[in-house]
Amino acid sequence: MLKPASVLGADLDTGRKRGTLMSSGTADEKGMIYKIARYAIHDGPGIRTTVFLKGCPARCLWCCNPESQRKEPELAKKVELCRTCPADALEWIGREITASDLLREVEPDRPFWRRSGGGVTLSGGEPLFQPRFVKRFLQLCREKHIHTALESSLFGDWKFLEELMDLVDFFQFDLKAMDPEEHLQLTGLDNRVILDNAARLLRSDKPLLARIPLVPGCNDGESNLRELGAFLERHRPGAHLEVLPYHRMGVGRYEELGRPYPLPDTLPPTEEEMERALGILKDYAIRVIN
Amino acid sequence: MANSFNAPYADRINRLKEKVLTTYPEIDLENARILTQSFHETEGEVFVLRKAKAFRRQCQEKTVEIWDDELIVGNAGSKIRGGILSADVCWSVLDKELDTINTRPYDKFHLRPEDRKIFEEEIRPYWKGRSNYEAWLAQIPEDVAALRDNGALYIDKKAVRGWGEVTAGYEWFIKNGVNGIVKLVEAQKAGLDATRPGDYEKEAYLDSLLVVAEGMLTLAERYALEADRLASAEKDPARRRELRKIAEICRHVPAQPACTFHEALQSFYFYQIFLFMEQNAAAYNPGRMDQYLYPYYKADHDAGRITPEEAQELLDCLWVKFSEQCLFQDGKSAEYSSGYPMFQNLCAGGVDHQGRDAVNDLSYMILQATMDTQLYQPSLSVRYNMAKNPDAFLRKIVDLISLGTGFPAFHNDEVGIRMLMNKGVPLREALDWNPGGCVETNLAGKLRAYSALADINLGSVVEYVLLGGKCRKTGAQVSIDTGDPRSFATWEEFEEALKAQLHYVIRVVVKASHIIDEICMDRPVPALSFSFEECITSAKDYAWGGAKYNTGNGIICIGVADLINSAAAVRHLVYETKALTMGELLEALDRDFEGREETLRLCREAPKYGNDDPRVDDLAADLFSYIADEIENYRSKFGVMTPGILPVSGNTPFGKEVGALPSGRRAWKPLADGVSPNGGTDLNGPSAVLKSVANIPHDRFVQGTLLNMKIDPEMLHTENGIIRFMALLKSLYSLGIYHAQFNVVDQSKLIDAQKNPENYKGLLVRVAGYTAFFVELGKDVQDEIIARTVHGEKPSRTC
Repeated sequence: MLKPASVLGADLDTGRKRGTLMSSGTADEKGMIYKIARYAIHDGPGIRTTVFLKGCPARCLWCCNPESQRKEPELAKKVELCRTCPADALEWIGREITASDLLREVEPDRPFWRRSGGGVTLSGGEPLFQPRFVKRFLQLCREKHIHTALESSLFGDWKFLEELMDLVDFFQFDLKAMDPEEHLQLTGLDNRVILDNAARLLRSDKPLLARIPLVPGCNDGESNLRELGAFLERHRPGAHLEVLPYHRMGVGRYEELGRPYPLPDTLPPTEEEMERALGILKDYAIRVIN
Repeated sequence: MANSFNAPYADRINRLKEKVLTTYPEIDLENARILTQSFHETEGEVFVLRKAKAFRRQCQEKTVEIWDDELIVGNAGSKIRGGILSADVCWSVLDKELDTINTRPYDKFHLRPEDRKIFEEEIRPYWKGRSNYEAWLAQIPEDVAALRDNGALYIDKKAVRGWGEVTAGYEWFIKNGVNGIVKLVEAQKAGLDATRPGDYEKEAYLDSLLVVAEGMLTLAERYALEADRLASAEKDPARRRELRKIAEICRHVPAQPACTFHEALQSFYFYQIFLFMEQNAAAYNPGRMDQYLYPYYKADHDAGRITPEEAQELLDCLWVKFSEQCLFQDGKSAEYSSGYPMFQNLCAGGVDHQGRDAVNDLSYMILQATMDTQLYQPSLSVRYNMAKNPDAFLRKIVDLISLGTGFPAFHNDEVGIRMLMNKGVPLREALDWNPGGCVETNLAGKLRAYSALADINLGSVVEYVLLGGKCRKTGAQVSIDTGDPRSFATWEEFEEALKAQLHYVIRVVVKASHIIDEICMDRPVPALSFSFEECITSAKDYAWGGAKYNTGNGIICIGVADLINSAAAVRHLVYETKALTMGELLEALDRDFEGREETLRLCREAPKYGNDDPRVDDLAADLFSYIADEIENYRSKFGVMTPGILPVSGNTPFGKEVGALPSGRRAWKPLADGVSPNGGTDLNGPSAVLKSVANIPHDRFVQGTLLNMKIDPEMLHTENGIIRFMALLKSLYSLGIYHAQFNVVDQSKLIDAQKNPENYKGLLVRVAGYTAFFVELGKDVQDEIIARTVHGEKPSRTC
């Protein structure tokens, strides 16, 4: 693992002038990513190559990718390696990359996109957190006729999202909780801008998938589910909603980062709990997937 | 683990299946005993005629039994799952293993005391000094023996079993019947003039075909009589009707052309057991059954004579019969292909001889038969043609893959066609190719070769570069001395030495192959040749090159990833980054990295094949183009020599012969299988594996290339996963990869199966080019399967 010394402490996009942010200049924008997943089959149509950007404004209690939260590279202690080879126990997470280099890294997957109707998905972290890099990368994809998907919390400026409308073929976003107070407690963010962006996206003709991570005791109450169903039905009747059962696969990652796991006692929803939630959502004119 | 399916005929199939699953393989000497008695009586006659007469006598005297529930009848030996000994080929194998055959680690056989007595008193005394195996042992040259005995070469297998590795002319046999073919033989005979030089040999040969035909008719009649006998004693009227019908069918076929689907299946199976009776061998490939049986099915169906369910039941019955055969081979050979593998490779899909979509109702039913029976035979393959075959067919393929039996082997149709053409077959006929044995390419009734004659250990080749031609394990000088690698100043010098070693080893194998070709001139097979039209019109046996097309034998490479990764590690560490000196590397390898953990880490972190990494994948292209060039440089008396990459299970025993490698593989561990990456070194998922694997020039390895992938079954449990997997297969196809097979069993299940074999009697795994009962494999082969990387994908972002 190379140590990305040159980017330690870098302020990413935020340190630059606002004026250049919206331009479609040819500058090779840099971004911070922490993982590229190949043969990703849950991040949009077809077989996808998913780029995970580092840095996220949210701190969801159930987050399974805690390494995606901070925007700086960080050290993780690989639990498994510790036993045999202490020198190797530390691993850098996060590296800086230019938009054109990223394109070069994902392009080998082209044969799989072609046969499956897939492409590249930008995920995170929060892609909207690195707007210039994201936009530049999406432009490069457009030039190469690569299908693009954006997976986002939608916590961002609508003006920027609007600019992306022509560059993104497929949107995927979570609506974690409908009540602003509850959302704030669960994620640390105010959801009004999120719901506003979601409503605009839903009212457009953009292909998209809305999702909810179903976390017992957090957001699986009847009123939240009913509000969610009604919201989707109102803004796009027939919208697709995927219900993702909470899982605990991220627990080990917290250990490696030396952080406490925020939901130590929460268990994945039982089959009955899932059925109950799906039953509620099916009252609305939306298509529920699980 | 009983398989449950809901068809009305499921009970019958499950009962038939249970009988196979609960039968312990046993040495079956009836066939060898009759052969020996016949040879006593034909002393002095033309050899091929003696073979034919022995076959006829087997047909006259062998045990004839029809078991409960059977609709397709016949058995090559005297018992279910019998290991038939081909005494004239390799009697001495059993001689050496008389005391150990039931305790050896791979493919055990029970040997009854009375059979042992027959062997010691009748079979051994006659055949001593007369078998093909003894001829080979007497003629093997020193340089071949040196490589063989030091683990760089496995080349004995053709001497310890019959021909096999062939697709007989089933279609022609079924369509003409024995009587129709006899007419052709007689017409040829009528054109001979015994005063013309050569015509006497031809007459003797054609006579042997007529004798064989008599035997075939006799055995079918005996089955008809047995069916009648059982019918007379049968109380259940339904079963009585079935038995009467069996009798009627056996009186009609194989003598006459088949008229119905049931007759065609029975005619097919008679011919299949004739082949096993003549010589027990692996890979008598049924080939494109969905093509040659379709006209019979369609005619029956259109005329209202059969329902799809009735046809499916017949196919399922045949499928169980395929699992009754057990390959008998020596303990060493069993180690290289364990699991009693019969490799009866049967294929569905592809294009017809006009290049049009060939998928029909029977193609689906053939896949369904394997879904219903879930046994280790037949070795089911598909020829998938992306341009022509419908997505519904691909979907059915994925449905079968998701059951985790390891079937079907997925073959790229266009690459297969190109391979046949590269063997010298014109396009018109190459369109009709079929996968054979493991993943080899074949052509029904027209093509002769040993498609997998010898295996080369590429791990040993790497060792010879590092040690100047010496074997690490034995210290013996067994290959050429290409110099001290510490004196190689550049990567190019190292690469040159590597290619010199490859050149030498291939040359030695070619020489050995030519010797085996000569020995096999004494191994005529009139029953097999009977369905090769050109063998009849030229009055020349299959063994003598009578088939329409002949190629040189197949030379198989094992340890592909080990070679690529070792070369890449040397280039990267010693010549490019200079992280290690050659001396440091050699020293670490010599002590199997003991106390050299830092060197081991560097070796393991060097670029690895299977990750779509150009720093190593260029070597896959370069080295394997070189190997294909080298092998194709040679010709045998039959045609150009042919390369292939199929490990069967040979990567495990070969690994035991090779010390530590620069790739970071520890000493004596298994080598990589087929064209697959080294276990645990592919870190980027299946698409990256495919990209790497695509660098090997597949279509030049005309005996096939084998890619093993283990897929987490979870991935095929959802519609989403299935659709993506279909796209993955299409991507594989467009990358020009020839073959892939998928083990979708999870590791915990395998570990449990290893601990509690009794609970997993029917658990199938794909070992390499075939599927075997997991609990019957040797422990280290089991371990190797467990250790293979599981490709899967966790939900990437749910929050």
